[in-house]
Amino acid sequence: MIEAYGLTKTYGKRTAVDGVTFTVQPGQVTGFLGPNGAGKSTTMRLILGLDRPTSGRVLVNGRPYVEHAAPLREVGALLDAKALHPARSAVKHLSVLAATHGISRNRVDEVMAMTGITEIARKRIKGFSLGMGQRLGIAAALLGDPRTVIFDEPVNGLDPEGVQWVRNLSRHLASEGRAVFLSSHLMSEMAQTADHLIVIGRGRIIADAPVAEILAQGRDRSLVRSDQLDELRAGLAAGGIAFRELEPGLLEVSGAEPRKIAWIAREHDALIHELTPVRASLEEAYMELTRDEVEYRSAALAGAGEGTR
Amino acid sequence: MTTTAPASRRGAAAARQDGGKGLTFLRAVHAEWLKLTSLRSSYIILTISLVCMVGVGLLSTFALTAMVSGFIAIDAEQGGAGQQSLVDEFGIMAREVPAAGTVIAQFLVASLAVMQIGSEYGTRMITTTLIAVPRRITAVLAKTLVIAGSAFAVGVVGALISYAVAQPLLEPHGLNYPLIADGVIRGIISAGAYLALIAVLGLSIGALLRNSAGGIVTILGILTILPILVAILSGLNDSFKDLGLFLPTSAGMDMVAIRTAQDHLTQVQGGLVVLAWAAVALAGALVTVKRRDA
Ligand SMILES: Nc1ncnc2c1ncn2[C@@H]1O[C@H](COP(=O)(O)OP(=O)(O)O)[C@@H](O)[C@H]1O
Ligand SMILES: [Mg+2]
Repeated sequence: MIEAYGLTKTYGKRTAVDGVTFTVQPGQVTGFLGPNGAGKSTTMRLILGLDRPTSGRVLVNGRPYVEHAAPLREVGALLDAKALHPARSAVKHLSVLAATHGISRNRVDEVMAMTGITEIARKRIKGFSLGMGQRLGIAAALLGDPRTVIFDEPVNGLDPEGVQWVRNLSRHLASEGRAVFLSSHLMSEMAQTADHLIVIGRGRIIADAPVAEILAQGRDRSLVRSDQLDELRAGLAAGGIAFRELEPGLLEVSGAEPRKIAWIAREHDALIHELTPVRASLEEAYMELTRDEVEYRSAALAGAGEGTR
Repeated sequence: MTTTAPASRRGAAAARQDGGKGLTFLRAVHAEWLKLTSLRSSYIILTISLVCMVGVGLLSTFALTAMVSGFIAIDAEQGGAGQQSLVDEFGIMAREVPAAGTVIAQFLVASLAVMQIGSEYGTRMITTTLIAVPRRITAVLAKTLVIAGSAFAVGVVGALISYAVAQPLLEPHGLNYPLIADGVIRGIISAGAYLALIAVLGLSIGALLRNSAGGIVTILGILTILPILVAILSGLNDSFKDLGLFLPTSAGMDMVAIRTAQDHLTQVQGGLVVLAWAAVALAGALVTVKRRDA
């Protein structure tokens, strides 16, 4: 369980996280979603005490991370898969971390088997692919059998099989009653993994709700073509219905059923020759949510690629 | 660490589960030891340091025996009176052989110590380290203890080997001496202590600068360039005259010496000065690492 209260972090003049309050519950996967630069990684660093909050407070399993007697047994974190010494072997890297908490060699072998890196255990990390590095990071996070798991962009650099694996692992960890907190800049990924979503944009929380609810928030829209656009516009405006003109002759109307739009058109003597309902996809719901919050629009548009640092 | 009631309750729960295995200082030390010994570069540098200790010991032995041979030849020409004071001087020089290598080994030990933390910042491993050991003082002190301990071992073992290999070479000149001879053991231990303190200084600088290259340049600057600068300054102005004595290299020479020069620090004073350098740097590093974002 993670509880953040008014968490704020500024780097010089830049506010990376801006008064964020949220709770990550045990027994479910909570997706932490936001475009690049939204403040996801910073929030996670604050949770783990790596950075000091400018103001606010964050507790993990009931107390600040630093104050736990056995931190690795409370929280397992993968923040940066490259945060390791490349000249060490995977098994040595894990043994070093295990040693800090007196975790047995058996457990090291166990997490290596769980993450499928047993075969490369003795190889230097230097030669690992991004995906293998990511698996090693997850192995390290699981060492202490923690009650709370934090993964920052865990599927970055993974092949489809790896993505599926992380998804199943996250669901499995949550089903065991752990609190699982995953970040991503891709809604599609979260939609299939998370039970609950916390959406962040420019350091502020935009939405904090179950996935289903966020989906429902993506308002239904209709595309309308008419020969009497002026009349139709006037009618919609009179009815307090939002719309925008996508191209000459084509309106996107939101917040009204097609039947209602058709009635308005009839009352205002507008002929409509297309009325297409468009259901919001999750991706669109997300774009909608973050429309005004995207710091670097190009980064968001490149969302399908591996755009994180 | 003080444990509050909830923590000990959790501790008890953990004990049932997995043998009560929390984070402790000793475990952090163990982890740091594994870090040091799982990198080939550490072995290489520590081995070269040891070789330097012995190599410089041998060189100074050769230099001494050559000098003694020359002196005896001259003395024989002059009728063989043999000045007792000079003979005593040779005896002292012979006893300074074991610790002689610190002059070179210090550079290697200091660099390794800087890298011990500088490379963690360079590779961002520090993030992983501080997640596993979020108590930062514990994290830095564990590192300090491991690198200082290793440096101490290199100093003492290197000095002991130097002592052993020097004896057969000194014997033909009657300059060999037992380990228990005046100041010999103290000199050997001081050699280890000096390297340990230099390691602490190096690690602290590495932690402050968060960078291996910058840290190594800085510590080597303190050990080699600073004495030159101070010497130039003291040439310009008398008030800087004694400043040089308080630099780590000069104080360290006094610290490991069998007999220090009249206008120099005593061994104990030298040791205290080096200790002060290490302690101040370490305190600065601890405070900074504790306060700073990782
Ligand atoms: N150490 C830092 N110094 C200065 N700015 C930073 C630092 N870390 C993050 N930022 C800034 O804070 C913002 C949030 O970054 P980050 O938390 O990495 O976002 P995300 O993980 O959501 O992509 C960005 O604008 C980033 O440039
Ligand atoms: Mg990030």
